[in-house]
Amino acid sequence: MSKLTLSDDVRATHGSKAPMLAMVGGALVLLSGLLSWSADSTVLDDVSVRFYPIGAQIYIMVMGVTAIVLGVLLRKRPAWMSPGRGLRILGWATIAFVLLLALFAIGYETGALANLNEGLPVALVGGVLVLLAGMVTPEVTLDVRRWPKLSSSLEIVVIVVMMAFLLFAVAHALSLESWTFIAFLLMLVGVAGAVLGTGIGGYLGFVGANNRRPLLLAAFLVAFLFPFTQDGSDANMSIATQIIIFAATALGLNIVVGLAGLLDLGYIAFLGTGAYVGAMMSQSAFATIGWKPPFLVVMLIGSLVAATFGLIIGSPTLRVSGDYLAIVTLGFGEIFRLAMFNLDGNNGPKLTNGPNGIPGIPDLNFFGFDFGESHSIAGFELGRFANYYLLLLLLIAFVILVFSRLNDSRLGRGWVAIREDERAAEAMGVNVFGLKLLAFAVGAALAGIAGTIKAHVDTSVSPDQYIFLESAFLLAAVVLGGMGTVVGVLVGASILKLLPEKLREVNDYRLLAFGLLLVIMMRFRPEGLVASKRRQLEFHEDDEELVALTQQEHLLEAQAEAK
Amino acid sequence: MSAMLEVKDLEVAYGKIKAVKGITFDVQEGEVVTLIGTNGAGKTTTLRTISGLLRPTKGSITFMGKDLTSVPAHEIVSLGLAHSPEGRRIFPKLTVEENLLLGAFSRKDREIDSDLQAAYELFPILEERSKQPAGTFSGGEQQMLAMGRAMMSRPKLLMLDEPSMGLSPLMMKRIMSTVTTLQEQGTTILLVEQNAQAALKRATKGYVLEVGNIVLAGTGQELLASDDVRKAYLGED
Repeated sequence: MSKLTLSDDVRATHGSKAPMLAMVGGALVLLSGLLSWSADSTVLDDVSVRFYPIGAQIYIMVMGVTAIVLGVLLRKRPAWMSPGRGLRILGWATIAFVLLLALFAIGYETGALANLNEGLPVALVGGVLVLLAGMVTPEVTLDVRRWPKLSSSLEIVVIVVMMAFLLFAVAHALSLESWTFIAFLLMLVGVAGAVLGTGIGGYLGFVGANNRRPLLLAAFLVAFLFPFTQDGSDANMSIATQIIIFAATALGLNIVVGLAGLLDLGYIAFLGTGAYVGAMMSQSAFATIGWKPPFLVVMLIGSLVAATFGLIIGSPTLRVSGDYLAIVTLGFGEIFRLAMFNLDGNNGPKLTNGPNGIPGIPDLNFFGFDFGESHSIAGFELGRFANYYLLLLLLIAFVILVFSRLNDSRLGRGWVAIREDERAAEAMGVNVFGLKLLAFAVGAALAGIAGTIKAHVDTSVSPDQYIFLESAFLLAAVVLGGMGTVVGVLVGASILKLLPEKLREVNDYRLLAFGLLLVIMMRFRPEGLVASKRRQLEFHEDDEELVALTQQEHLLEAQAEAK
Repeated sequence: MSAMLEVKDLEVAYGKIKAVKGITFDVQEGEVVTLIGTNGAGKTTTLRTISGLLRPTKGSITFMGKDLTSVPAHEIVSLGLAHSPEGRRIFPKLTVEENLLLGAFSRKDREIDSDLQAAYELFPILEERSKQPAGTFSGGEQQMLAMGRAMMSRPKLLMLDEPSMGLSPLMMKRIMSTVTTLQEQGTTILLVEQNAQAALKRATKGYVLEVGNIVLAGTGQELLASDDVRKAYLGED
């Protein structure tokens, strides 16, 4: 956004008007929620009635309140905060919110822009004012040494509040459909972006870094509690299971791409390998292998087979690098799919039933706990997908553990060194080829485990689930979320799996929107949604303020560690 | 006493072009040996071949009695031979500490931490900025990091490729005096330098390279006094 700011002169002369602008803009946005948005009462759960805010109208009122609060903060600014930046983000988000809803949710859905009533135009004016307020605010240098110093127990309270908020937001978002869902997402992006953008984001990151364990625990608690908010309904839980499988696989890919820097465009084949192993050794009537070991053994075999494939694919391909590696792995991804397509007994051994795949894979059963049935736990109903969700939660916890242990280890350092400068790494005594192979094998093994569970969740396995597009989506999740990070990839995977599920109306334009999203991201935030400081610096080396801030934060963290 | 490093009739070629045309030299334990010469003389190529990043077309390299010509680069480091490459080649996005730990990549013992402290003692600025990305460092600080990083593998022989390149006179002095400190601490050093004066002053032995051949050899003092060297490399008439 830095390119879209005003000159220092303008800011110096008009800076004093910023708080007023922000508050007036915020008030207009707030007011717009009470007005009528559409003459047609069928869109957005009926936003035609005045003084009866509902859904998207409530969201925009939240944005208005945020703008007013930031305006007040502008008057008495703490040294570590920059409400101006927050206002700019909020202004852009409000404008995007209004335009998107006006043009598509009302204009396109009702067939005529004439259905537009006074509410959204008022909000647009408010949004522009908020943006202006942000733009005329003089740029300030943040002083992170003034961060509020909380006692450690209060810091944990901060984390708990954050996590509770997260749980609430996710549960609420999942209950929404189509345009209201988009409206909520835009509001969330705007308000969270604005609040975090003021400098609170850096502070929360600092608090989180000081309390890694409680943070991790709280995050898993939230994830664990999530199925209990769903009243036994499986609609959202089935999406959630798909997200976790996707995220676990993306985290495996993150080792290969994010840590070792090897571009793999055929990664979905390893998930497929696991899934096929899981299916072939299952109790399904169509299973092609007679041996039916317990599922834990199947998981182990699935991961080993995938890792072996990783080694087989890796040893010839890892001698090439960069673009060539991408092309070769892309080829291997297709070879996998075509091989599964053809191992039907006619063209080769009967292993995969060809295009029909292996259907009828029964539900898992651990010590009498049938994953296919509903269970009642402490008065809460947990359906089939909720059962699998909890199992998958264990899987992803394991994957995260493996990833972060590797990331902090000697091996992880070796991988990053290879990514940064292969020759220098070799001079340091890093076995470059060996470590690259290991990255391939470990990533593949994690995807393989996820695959064996996926076979049971989906109840069938067929070649068309493992097309190139899936590999591209996995890579996109890693890049979109933030290469080399755990949280980023989780966020990226959730967004990429959730959006298509919630936006069935625009499904035909899914790839178009996806491409657009990637282009916008690469323009404004190439380091990904959740970026490690390292990557942020990489993409914004000329941003002196960021460099200074980072150095200050390093000092603070070093002090905190010394304590 | 047999030499710590013995290079015999070494020939290295990039494709058809021979960069090193049959050179022979040795480094005894405890020495500071310097290779000097102009651009393209083959100094860097020689170091890269010794550390296994390039393969010779002819000749032998023996380090502590072991032939290095077929040992992979990553194993050469664990034999006790560290290479601080030309242009420093630090990892700019990694922190100072991560860079140093990468220097110790070939080791798995428990004394890495104490060596980290030793590196910090050698260059206190590295400790002050241990959590900072190395790319934000100045050239001189990066050179300190590169040397500290090379020392982290506990080398018996440290090869430094142009440590003073692009540094201010003051920083150059600091770096070159560290070379002496390291020698006093018992590290044998093979130093490649364009700054012949500074290198020869500290060297027990020197070799002058010209387009892939050794044209002159002698003790540091001898070379410093030699007319040929003074004319060609020290800019004196």
